[in-house]
Amino acid sequence: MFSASYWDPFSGLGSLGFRSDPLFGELRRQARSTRSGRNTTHVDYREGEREYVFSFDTPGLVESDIELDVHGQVLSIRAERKHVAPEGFTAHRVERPSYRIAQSFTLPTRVDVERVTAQLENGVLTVTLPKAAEAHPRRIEVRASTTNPTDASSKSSANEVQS
Amino acid sequence: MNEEIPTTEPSVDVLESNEALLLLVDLPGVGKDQLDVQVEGAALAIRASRTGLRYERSFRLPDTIDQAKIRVALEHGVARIELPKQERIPVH
Repeated sequence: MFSASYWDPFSGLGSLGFRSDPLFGELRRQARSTRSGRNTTHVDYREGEREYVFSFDTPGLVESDIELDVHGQVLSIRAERKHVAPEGFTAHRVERPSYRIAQSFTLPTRVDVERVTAQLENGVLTVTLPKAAEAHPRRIEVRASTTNPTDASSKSSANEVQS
Repeated sequence: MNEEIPTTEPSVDVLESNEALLLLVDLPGVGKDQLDVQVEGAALAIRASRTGLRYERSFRLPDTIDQAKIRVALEHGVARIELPKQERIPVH
């Protein structure tokens, strides 16, 4: 039997369903928590030819909330967001988590510590660590063995005499 | 192409004062140009995008909200959406 009070027009949609939540109450909250993708801090890492780049999601953090250290080949980050309700407001729904980042990453090679940069933009911290020169990829020139090396050397000595 | 970008629901805090409701929305990686907040009928729709990810969330608005006065600010990857309540006309 069809019961209007329990009919949910959106129940058939997957996570892409764009439906409206009530502003108040915890309705559907449990179902949602298994769906939402990024409730924890997310980090991306990529390696370029000449640098390592880390991107940390740090929504709500300012520069002074973040501590970064590089010791040898280890990058360490410490940061924390505490949940603080703005003054004069009471909370009806609290989903944004307090979070703490305390992680260390061991890099595959040494880095140029003096040139490490960290930039905070739109709640994302991007740390760029240039590889130490010794770790740069180096193209090795392939030489064919010269059949007549005496030609080249006699030419250069002729130039020296002229100058 | 757009269909392949995954969509997630951002985390939201809902707060209330005497004068307004306040939504705080975690949107790391989203700049002002990538944030879109719209009143659609009785709903407030929040849509945003960053590289490789879209955020979508919608809330039913109570009818006590003055829809013309909704304000949106974006700071450090957190959207702050202020929804002022309608001013009550005192009855004498």
